[in-house]
Amino acid sequence: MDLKAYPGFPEPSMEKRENFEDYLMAAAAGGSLSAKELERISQQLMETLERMVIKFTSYESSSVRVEEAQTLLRSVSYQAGIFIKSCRSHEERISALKTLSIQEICSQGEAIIKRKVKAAAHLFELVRETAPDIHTLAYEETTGAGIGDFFRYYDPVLKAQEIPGMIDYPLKGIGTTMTGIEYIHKYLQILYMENQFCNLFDPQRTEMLLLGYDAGWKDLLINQFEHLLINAIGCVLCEKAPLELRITADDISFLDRQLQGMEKNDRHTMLLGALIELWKELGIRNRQMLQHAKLTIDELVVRVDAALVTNTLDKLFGDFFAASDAEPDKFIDTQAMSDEDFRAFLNMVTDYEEPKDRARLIYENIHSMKDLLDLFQTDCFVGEEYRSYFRLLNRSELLLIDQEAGEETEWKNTLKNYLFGL
Amino acid sequence: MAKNFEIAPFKMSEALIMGLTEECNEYTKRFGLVLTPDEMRQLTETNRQVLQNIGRIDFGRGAIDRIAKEFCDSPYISQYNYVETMQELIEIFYYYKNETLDEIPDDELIILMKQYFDGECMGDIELLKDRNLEYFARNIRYGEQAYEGSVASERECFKGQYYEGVDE
Repeated sequence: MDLKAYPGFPEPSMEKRENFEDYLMAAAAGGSLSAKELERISQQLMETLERMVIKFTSYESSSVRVEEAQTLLRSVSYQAGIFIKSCRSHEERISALKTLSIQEICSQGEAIIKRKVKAAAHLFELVRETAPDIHTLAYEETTGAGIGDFFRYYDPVLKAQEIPGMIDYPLKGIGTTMTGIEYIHKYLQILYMENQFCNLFDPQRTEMLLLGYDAGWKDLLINQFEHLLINAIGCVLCEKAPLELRITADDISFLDRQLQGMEKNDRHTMLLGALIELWKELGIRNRQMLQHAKLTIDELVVRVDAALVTNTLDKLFGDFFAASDAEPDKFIDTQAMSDEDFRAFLNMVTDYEEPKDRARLIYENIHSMKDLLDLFQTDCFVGEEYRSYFRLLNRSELLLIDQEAGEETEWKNTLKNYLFGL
Repeated sequence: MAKNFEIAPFKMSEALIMGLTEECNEYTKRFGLVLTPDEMRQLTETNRQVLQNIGRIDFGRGAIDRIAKEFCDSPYISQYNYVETMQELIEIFYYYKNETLDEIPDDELIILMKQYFDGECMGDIELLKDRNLEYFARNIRYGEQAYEGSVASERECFKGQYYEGVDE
């Protein structure tokens, strides 16, 4: 076990790690628990497990499959862990481990879990009450059947660490270490905050913004809060009202000029400043929400850096409303050119010196995926020149090309990097 | 302490083995079946090995005494084949706990094994394992309605529970 994972060793942190077993091992390694005490705890854990197995099999079987026993042991460990985490200090935790039996610890853990379930159920009600009018299917399913199933099937005794229910809607700041009721409680807390933020914006504008991102936004696994926050920040940077959400081509040029000449750290400071400004303008006093929004800002800084290099700031803070007027994307693959026509077209392309002229010619004349992929194989662009063509396409078209492209080639790598920067 | 609380089958203590031998013999000796402590040791080792091989863990004392007490009045078991038959029965018992997806309680499975063993199988362990119990387990797994080759059910507890639809 890696003890470096425990800051402040030999006082292992239960907050950093969720695992009760790891905590025990670290406490033993740090000398807080003796080998004898650890042995007693281990024995008591097995006794508690035995009682659970009897309960699990409804007193009808003395044996279970090892996987089931392990699931039950994880549940015992989860209950104990949640109680240990509720203690205020390391000393209090060690004292509890020394003076209480594992059965008592688990009972107290179970009581905490039940209280958390009640609190989460209340939060769930709030989330449903404050659900934004505009939302994705993933949001609808998660806040409907998904979390509903959790409350229907969650077993705080035998499977306390499990999350029964489909939780698809993506959220930042939830991490991967939490399980069981802790996960759902945290998830609902974040979702409730995001709902409150999303409700500040006009639903029609929100819909237009998301439509601009992708015509099929409803089916995508996107986080609405993130999209609104980024555009609102963009508006603040352009000295516009954040609720407007709209960022025009002129705004993009303005942003480009502003951000281009800055150091990376300054850009971070500037975006954080814009966030604070946004909070003031929207009259939000929730500090937790601010902390949560900072996670998006941290990621935004990286995306802005990439967008400045690839000159795709418009894709990050795009004038989404203009694009949203267009018809939803439809790809119609026309018949490929004959070999002679293709050769003639290739000669025409290579006659142009400027990559952007070649890109425009291809964009206007090539309507077949086969022709396009063949053309890329002829090295009509070199290295970064491919970006001139990619800039003319929207995200869906680029993803389609990425999907159709075969083996790894120079242009495919350029496309991947370009997509990453979007 | 087991590293990260891995669950492993435990080894029975000598006192437990002696106690189990005494308890079993007290019940089975009236049918002329007795186990020596060495034989009981052998059976507990079989019990442990079987559990390990098929991926189960027993939190009780294993299935030895329960199987011995149920099978001791079988006309097909005598002192000379007692230990070998018990070893086979222990293996079959745990194997079919898995194969029936733990749907059948321990006691009911042992009773059913005894019914087949004394009835249709006439003491043939192979038939018990590869025909009757196999068929029974398949019906449990696939939720099929009936087990038509059922022995005449003497125990009410099975009626309607696993043999729905069987013409009585």
